[in-house]
Amino acid sequence: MASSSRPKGTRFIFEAGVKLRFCDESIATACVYYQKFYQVMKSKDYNESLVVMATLSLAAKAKDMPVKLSDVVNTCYRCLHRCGPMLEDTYHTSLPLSLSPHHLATAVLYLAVLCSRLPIPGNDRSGRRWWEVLCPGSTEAELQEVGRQMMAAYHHQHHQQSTSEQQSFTPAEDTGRKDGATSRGTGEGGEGMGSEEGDKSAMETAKEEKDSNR
Amino acid sequence: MCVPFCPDVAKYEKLTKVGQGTFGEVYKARDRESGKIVALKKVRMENEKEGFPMTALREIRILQLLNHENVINLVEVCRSKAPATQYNRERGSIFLVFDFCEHDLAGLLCCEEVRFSLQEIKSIMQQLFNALFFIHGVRILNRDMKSSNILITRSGVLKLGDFGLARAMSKGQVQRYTNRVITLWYRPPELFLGERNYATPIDMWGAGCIMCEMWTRRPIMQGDSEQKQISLISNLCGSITPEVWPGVESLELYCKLQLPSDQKRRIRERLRHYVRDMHAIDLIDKLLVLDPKKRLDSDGALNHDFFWEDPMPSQSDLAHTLSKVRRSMFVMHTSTARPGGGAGVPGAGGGAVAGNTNHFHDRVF
Repeated sequence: MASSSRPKGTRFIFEAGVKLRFCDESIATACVYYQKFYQVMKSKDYNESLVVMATLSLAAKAKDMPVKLSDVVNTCYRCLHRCGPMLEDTYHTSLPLSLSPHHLATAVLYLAVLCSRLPIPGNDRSGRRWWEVLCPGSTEAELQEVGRQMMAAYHHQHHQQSTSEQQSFTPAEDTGRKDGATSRGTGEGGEGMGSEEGDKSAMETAKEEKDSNR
Repeated sequence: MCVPFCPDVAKYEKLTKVGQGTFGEVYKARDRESGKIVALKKVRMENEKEGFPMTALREIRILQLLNHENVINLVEVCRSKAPATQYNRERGSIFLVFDFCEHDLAGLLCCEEVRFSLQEIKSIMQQLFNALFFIHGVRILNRDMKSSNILITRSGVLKLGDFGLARAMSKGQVQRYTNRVITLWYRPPELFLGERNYATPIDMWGAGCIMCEMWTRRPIMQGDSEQKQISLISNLCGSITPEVWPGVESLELYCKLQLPSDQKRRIRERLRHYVRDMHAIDLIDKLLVLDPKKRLDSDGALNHDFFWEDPMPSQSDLAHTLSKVRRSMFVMHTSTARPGGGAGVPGAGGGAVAGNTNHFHDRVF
């Protein structure tokens, strides 16, 4: 029973499954496929997110409730790259009082880019940095300050959560938790905040970001 | 890539192509190690945009569930390696491996030198109802009853062949299944009228059509359109009215279709030219009933006097007759589907064999 727990992938399946409006049975089936797959395959040979998406799609077909592949991919993408929830999280701080929505959205992007260690190709032709393009007048120091406050808020929240979580879940996952809190927004905390309604402009700028990275 | 539990199809040596349907190609093949003869059915992937087709997945799941002497046995599922170049969009293929059956019923009925005695017909029909009794018992609908999907081994064992359109019935609530199933000629009246909460009687109608074919040797109602088919049905079974079929008026298409009126039920009188045995006529009469609720079910069919009066069904006679048939009798035409074949559904593609049949020209009724 050495490899009995793989909570990270199955948590991901549950999260994406709920967002895709899967029935419980389909989600459970996807989890079983996932466990079966890693029982015989070496985990380093396969991208975990791809395996999760494959199990979701297969389970949906097996339970006669097919979803479009593109829906699976998009939903999983949004679970992995959450800008929306992060932006919403700013409302749990006093930041919206001192910054314009544009500033705030740019700062969240800045933080997301920092956390995911995405290389952003230099400046545009006139020598402006990317955040200046998105939000004229913003400075790096300003963005860093927002990031610092956000992180402080997450840190605080994380402490509260991890104590309550240990009572309800098996503690298997907890070591990777700190990283998770940054790259995956607030983890479970983000779930309840309705990421569906993420700020449109932030989502769009995030899309642009993604495109310009290619 | 290492793929456990899914052997390379190269373990089988392909011998001949025995069928082709919209659903995929079927080959006769030999296990290189054991020498066992099998049928390989290739899952078509070319037109799939959503990955492995759900219908094939359904078929595999259902076949794995069904383990019965009169249902085709799925031996295993194999794959072929993807070609070496990664850049073309060719992927590896998936093959379903079945026990091989030498004949299909449509092929045998086309072949004039094959003559079935009453005992043999009884044996075939009894095995068919056994198969239906079993699959309906585990809540599976075949949804593609037709003579080319009825496979028969050299030793006279009938195997229900193709589960490409089959599905499991959910319990409880009202369902909305697609009614674009079943080859036109074998499609029951409730599907034409837009019933989507159908159940096992849809397979029993097809069984009734197939039973007639045992004597007429060709499909009895060969409409070339839905409208034509419903006229043929009314012509044989009488007009579709709320008197003979209470509740029919609430079906979606009851008012929209042109339903022939004042038609008398003429099954017995028409069949008399073909079928001598009174029990046989009585059984057919109870199967080709317009109202699905009044149609005989597989249990009722198996208990019918037809199977319990002399001459009793005889499988050994059937094996003897078949042993004299040299060639494999498949209805095998690689051309197009039957006219109106299942309104865009994968018309044929026979489980272990049998492609589409395109050479029935004479209409019986």
